[in-house]
Amino acid sequence: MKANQYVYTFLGVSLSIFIIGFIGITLSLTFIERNYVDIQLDVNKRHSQSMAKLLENEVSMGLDLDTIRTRFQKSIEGTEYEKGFLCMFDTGDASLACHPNASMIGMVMPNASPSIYQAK
Amino acid sequence: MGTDIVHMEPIAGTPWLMAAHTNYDLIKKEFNLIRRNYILGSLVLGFLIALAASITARRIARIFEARIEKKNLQLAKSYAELKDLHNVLKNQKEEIETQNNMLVSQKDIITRQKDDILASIEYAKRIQDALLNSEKSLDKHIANYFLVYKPKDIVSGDFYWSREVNGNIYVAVGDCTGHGVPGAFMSVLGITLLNEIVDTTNCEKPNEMLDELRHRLKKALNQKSWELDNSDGIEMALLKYSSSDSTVQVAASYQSVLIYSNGNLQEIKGDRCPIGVCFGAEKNFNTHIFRLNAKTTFYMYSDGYADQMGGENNKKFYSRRLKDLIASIGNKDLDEQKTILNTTIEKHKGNRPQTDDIILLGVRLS
Repeated sequence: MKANQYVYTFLGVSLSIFIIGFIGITLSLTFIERNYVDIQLDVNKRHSQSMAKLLENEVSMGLDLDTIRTRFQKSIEGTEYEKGFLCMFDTGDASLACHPNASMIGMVMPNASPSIYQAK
Repeated sequence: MGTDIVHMEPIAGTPWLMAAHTNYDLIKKEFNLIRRNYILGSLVLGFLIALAASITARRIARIFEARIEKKNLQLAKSYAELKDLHNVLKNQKEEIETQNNMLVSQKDIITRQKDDILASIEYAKRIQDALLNSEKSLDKHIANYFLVYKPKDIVSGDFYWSREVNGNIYVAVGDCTGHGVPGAFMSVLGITLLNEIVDTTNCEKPNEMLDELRHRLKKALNQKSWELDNSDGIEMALLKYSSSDSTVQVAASYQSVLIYSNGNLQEIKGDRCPIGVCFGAEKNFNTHIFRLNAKTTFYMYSDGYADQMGGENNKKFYSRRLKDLIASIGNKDLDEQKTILNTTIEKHKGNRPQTDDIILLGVRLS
């Protein structure tokens, strides 16, 4: 009798926690997921803006463009690029000027699908 | 698994664009891993919380359950006590109902017995009335008289009697021991014996008649000595009126006879000797003789009038007061005297019960 009371109490409390937890976790994970992606995007955006500003400074200091491009390529080359990365396009022919994967340099970015690069 | 350009920033002073790539799928994959771990952690945590909450809740509940169990035990005990009490009361009620039924049936029996007894006494009254000289009989012998006759019960121990023998009129007032049925028996015996004496003996004087009456009564009651036998008897006043010589002879046992004449009240005290077994030496009765010169009223009475309780202090009427009353009304008409005596004793008695049989006979002779 006493054991049954413990079981019933446990089941009752568990069911209550499960229902409350399910609703709470679902809502909170949805919110966290949205924020997590936004943060990732924002971090990459700020990163690209910072690097653009840095290169602009180097240009304003009188460094020639080729040196700047070479130094930037060296700084990003070989870094992990699975999750996200910075690259630089040449607006003249829409080709990659710098990329962590050096083999990608010179590839052209199609208008329709900017995530797919094509060789010149 | 490809990446998407999420932002492009132009670099001033150059033909370049700084592009930021992000791999959505990888982020999603990473987040799904976080989600899974989060859910797993939540489940484990929820389980632990549920377990701890259950144990805590049960322990708290046990405290209250223990109190409730204690209260339940007290309630069960109280219930058992109430149940016992209920059974006791139920038994008592049944017993009372049984007793009540028994009482009702006994009451019915007693009521029937009482009715039977009352009927018997009523019949006895008829017999006593038949034996007593009726007032019509008194009318036949005495021209001017009044009678106050109040039995305490249906039948009376007080009686009156009158006979005419050889031109002489005998009038008696008796007070037998007790009242009610025993008194009535004695009165019947007294009347019967008086009639016997008149019819079968040569006794003419009242004192002789009382002596003979005492003798016959003792014989009838088988009384031999005061110490051994019952002391039942009769107190009596007996008057003999001889119209031929206008004399009145009076003999009395214990009772007093009042004589009112010419505004004076005289008392003849009865002999201190009962008609019945006597304490000490037995003496003969005496006769008092009066010659009538004027209108004279003789009052013969039992002690019932004087002994009646009542008044403001619930005291006896007393014989002194009775004598004063008679002295004050002695010159009045006899009917008026009867009314006054009746009214006075009823007023004195009030709502109280009658103490004893009452008889008071007034005889006016001239």
